[in-house]
Amino acid sequence: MINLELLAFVAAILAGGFGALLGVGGGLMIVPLLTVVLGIDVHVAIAVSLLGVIAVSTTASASYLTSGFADRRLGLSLLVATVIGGIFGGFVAGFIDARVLSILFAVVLVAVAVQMLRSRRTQVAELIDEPGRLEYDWSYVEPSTGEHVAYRARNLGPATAVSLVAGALSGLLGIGGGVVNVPTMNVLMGIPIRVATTTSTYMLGATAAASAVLYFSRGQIDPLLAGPVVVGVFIGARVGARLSHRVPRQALSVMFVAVALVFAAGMLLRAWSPT
Amino acid sequence: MTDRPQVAWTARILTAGTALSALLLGVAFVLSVFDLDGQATLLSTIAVTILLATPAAGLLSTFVELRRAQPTAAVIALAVLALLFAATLVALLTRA
Repeated sequence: MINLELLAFVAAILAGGFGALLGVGGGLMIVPLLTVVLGIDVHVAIAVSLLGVIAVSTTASASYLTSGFADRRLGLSLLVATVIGGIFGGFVAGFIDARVLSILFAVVLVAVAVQMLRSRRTQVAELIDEPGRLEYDWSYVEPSTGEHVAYRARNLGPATAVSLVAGALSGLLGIGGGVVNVPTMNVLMGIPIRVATTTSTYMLGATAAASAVLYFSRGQIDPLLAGPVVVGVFIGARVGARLSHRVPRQALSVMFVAVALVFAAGMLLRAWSPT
Repeated sequence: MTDRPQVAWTARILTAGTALSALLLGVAFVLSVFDLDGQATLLSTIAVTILLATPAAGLLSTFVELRRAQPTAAVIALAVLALLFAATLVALLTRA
């Protein structure tokens, strides 16, 4: 008989790889894979997914901080909101029925699939005036061109409010929150997409840790499942990041939409099926 | 705009914490495959604790690195750290 941990390991490699290829993180894929395919309780799946998010985020952050892509000041400012949201989400998840969580997860999967189909990116505005009271200017060196790109962080107030929701979703569903953080920073704040994605990754570790401790205290982190999932997501994310420049993004997006819709249907079926 | 604060210690701490945790989880996974569940559970629990503490350790080193170059950001790092402690406290108080 094939061991459940081995199956979880394979599922985590696939989820981590796919998540890294599309920049949506492993959580969006690992939770439905563990619940729909392997029949693991949704609370346990969310808890181990959060551990995977921490592992991938902290490793990538080290590299992004060194390269200067991640804007630590921006990340810390938004982290206050995402961590508060993460604590709320992690706490509330303890009182929510597994069926309701499955339905919520299905809704988020569909929303992300729709967002992927109509993805929008904002160009960086030119800096001609002085930054306002809650704004600041920063810059990074774009590796593809060697160009020094200056940008201004704007709309910190509204972005903080959205980050609160991103943190709550992360704690509630075990997803990274990048699907909310990246468009918020890029479209709402005018942050270049490279800085937005790397800063979001920097924020995910602390956000996930804030809610993961709550799952840990409730005994919902299965130690025997944590190993294969964390190591698997970690390996998958590294392979996915390496392959991301070689695989056509358009085809991947279409594949993601198809898989996300199948998983959403699976989560809904699970929610309505008798236990 | 060009005054870049240090990041070396934060990067090292984040890498070391995750690497140690992943190593222990990897060993625990191998032990579980060989049905040594008791040892695997103990090792995994230690690894999970290290993993959960890694972002907090990173925030502490961020505070140290930023306190001169970006004092406001350093204070925010401390605030986030305080929130993580609050989360731990809530977790301990509502423990199953």
